[in-house]
Amino acid sequence: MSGIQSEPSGALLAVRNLVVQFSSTRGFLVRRHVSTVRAVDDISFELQQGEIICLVGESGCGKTTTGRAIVALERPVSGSIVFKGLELVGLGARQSHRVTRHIQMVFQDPYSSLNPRMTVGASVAEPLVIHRVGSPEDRRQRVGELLDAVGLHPESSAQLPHQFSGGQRQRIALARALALNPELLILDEPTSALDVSIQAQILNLLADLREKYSLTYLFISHDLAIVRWLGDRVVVMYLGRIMEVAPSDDLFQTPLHPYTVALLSALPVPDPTVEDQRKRIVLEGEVPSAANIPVGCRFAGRCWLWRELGSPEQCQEMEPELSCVAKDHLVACHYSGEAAVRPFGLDPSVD
Amino acid sequence: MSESGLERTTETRLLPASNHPGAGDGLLSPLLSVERLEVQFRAKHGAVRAVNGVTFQVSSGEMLGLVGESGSGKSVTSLAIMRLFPRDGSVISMGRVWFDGQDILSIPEPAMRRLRGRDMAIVFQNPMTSLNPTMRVGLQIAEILMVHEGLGRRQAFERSEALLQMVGVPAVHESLAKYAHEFSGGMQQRITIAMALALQPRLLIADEPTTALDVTIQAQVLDLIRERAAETGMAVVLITHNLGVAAGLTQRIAVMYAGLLVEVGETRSIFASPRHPYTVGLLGSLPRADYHRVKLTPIPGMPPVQVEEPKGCPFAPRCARQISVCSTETPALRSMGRQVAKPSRAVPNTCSHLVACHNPVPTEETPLMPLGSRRD
Repeated sequence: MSGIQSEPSGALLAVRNLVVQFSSTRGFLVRRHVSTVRAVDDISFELQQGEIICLVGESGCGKTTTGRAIVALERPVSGSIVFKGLELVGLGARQSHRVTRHIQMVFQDPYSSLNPRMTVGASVAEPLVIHRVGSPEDRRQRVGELLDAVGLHPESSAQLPHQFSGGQRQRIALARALALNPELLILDEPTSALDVSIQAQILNLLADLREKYSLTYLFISHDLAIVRWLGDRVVVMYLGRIMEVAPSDDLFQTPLHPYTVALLSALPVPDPTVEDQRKRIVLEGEVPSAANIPVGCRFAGRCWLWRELGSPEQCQEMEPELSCVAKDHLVACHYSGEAAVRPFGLDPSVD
Repeated sequence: MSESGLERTTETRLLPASNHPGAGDGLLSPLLSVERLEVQFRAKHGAVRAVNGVTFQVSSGEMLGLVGESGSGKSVTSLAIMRLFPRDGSVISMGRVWFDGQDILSIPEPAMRRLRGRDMAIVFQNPMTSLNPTMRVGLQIAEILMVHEGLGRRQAFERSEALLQMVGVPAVHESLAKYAHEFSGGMQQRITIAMALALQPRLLIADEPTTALDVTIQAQVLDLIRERAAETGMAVVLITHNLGVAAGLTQRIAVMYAGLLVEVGETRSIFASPRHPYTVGLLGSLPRADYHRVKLTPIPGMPPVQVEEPKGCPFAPRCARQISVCSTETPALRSMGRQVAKPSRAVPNTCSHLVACHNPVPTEETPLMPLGSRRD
């Protein structure tokens, strides 16, 4: 590949200072610019080979946009995305085409991500056709292998998507994403349209596939329980910014950003004993509009810690940098040390 | 239903439905008593059986969780209770739904209309589809008060303002003049809750009230429901697929599968010692945020679509504990006795743990969490 840059960290994927904006216009013939929404506002993170990193946050935090920018479905305003030493931002169509076979995406809704008029076999084989891999006979065989790998009967390749349930369709989407032997899969809420019992099947499948094909996942989710189960590392986003990055267990046991603390505390746990014991931090208000991001720390207006600390001015004047506070633990908060609480309110004697 | 209908009504008024499975200890008569409810939808290839004979009770002040996956019949049950199906014969409801002594499946529509809203109210999952997009929010709430309580416009608007205040909508006065789309999802849901509570109903059915909302907003809305229920003593049927939400809010849980109740019991009892293989499977499928990577044991296969008359246990094809009788006989709900030693939440309708299974999971085999999992 041309244009190779050295990436000192040796990360599979490095996102640096990524900014993605959407501008909204009004008017039909004369377009007037109304506002600019910074969906992703200067974020940086890295993915190591073989790791599962989870992007979490509430709707509108920019997690999906980040994923889409990596697979070139959104054009960043600035920043860089380096995959195996190759800069992806601003890449020409031809080179981009060559890179995308290594990065594949699975979308949330398996009802809209599969072409209803294409047979399952044709859908799964399509990436192979586009990238001119193998003869038609090879492809047929490969489709059979792929369907088998995701737990579907190879004979289902002649059927149409409507003949399958949501869970099965998500398996088909996974088979298609795996067709080109990618190294990185971007999974955008792949189980949120599914029922719990089916979700568990898909989660186990994702864990198995990662082992089998030594894949790297960027898993985008709003479901923190899944994130804890699947993720090696977690990136918490709020209003287009990264608030906290930590290894999964660290994040869930000792979250350091007040937003993460509140998020975990709001999460219902399927255990009445825990639910009765824990103290909940209920955040007031709602996420501000991304078109009108507050000055200073963008979370300050809803921050329980800020109020507890007597509304320090610093939070409303200066945006906190994402900085390392413990091993592999990054937090963007001026008072991160003060937030440490056990989010599930557990008595240590439960161990 | 001719003359016997009247007799039956009086009879039930005097005698609480204590001889029915799932009934209370007879001290408190249940506010809502659903008996052998069946709902069928006419379809091209015969009737789709959404609900296949469901029986449960809810008392005043109690919060019952109706949990199950999509297609289990939980929402259809709530629509049948509210009688919100088209009356063109495309949906057939059978069985009895006693609300405060009247069989509401057989009362005439005008009487039902008076009950709906005043005595029983419902909150749906998607607030944007339950609010009228072309009507200002204030008038939508005031309309209820004007129709049901005969209030004048001015008074109705005053009360609407108080209601919005109660559910925590900011800038109440300005909000009355706004349209639904001008609010966020969480605020819209608060408005539908205000509408549901406008006439102080005795029964609130909340059908996935927080599913469309983010976690932090979900916590706010659940707090609101909890607080209102505690203050007014209304009964709440909380329909949810989220076992975490049910664990935090309810006193009792009823688990549905393929149109049947498979397990009913105290919330603690259901989570601490689930006895139906489906409930065990459901809990085993849940990743948990407060545990380090518990092994997930999903239920194999998929839930059935019920077109034919059910034969045997609907869960049998997916069940590891299946025995020969399972494929021929549909199990009835039967009592497993009381199992939890110390219920922490007040359970008004002291109930036993009921399971519809020929071969229930023994208590000792259902530890809350698989061994070897690490607790935070």
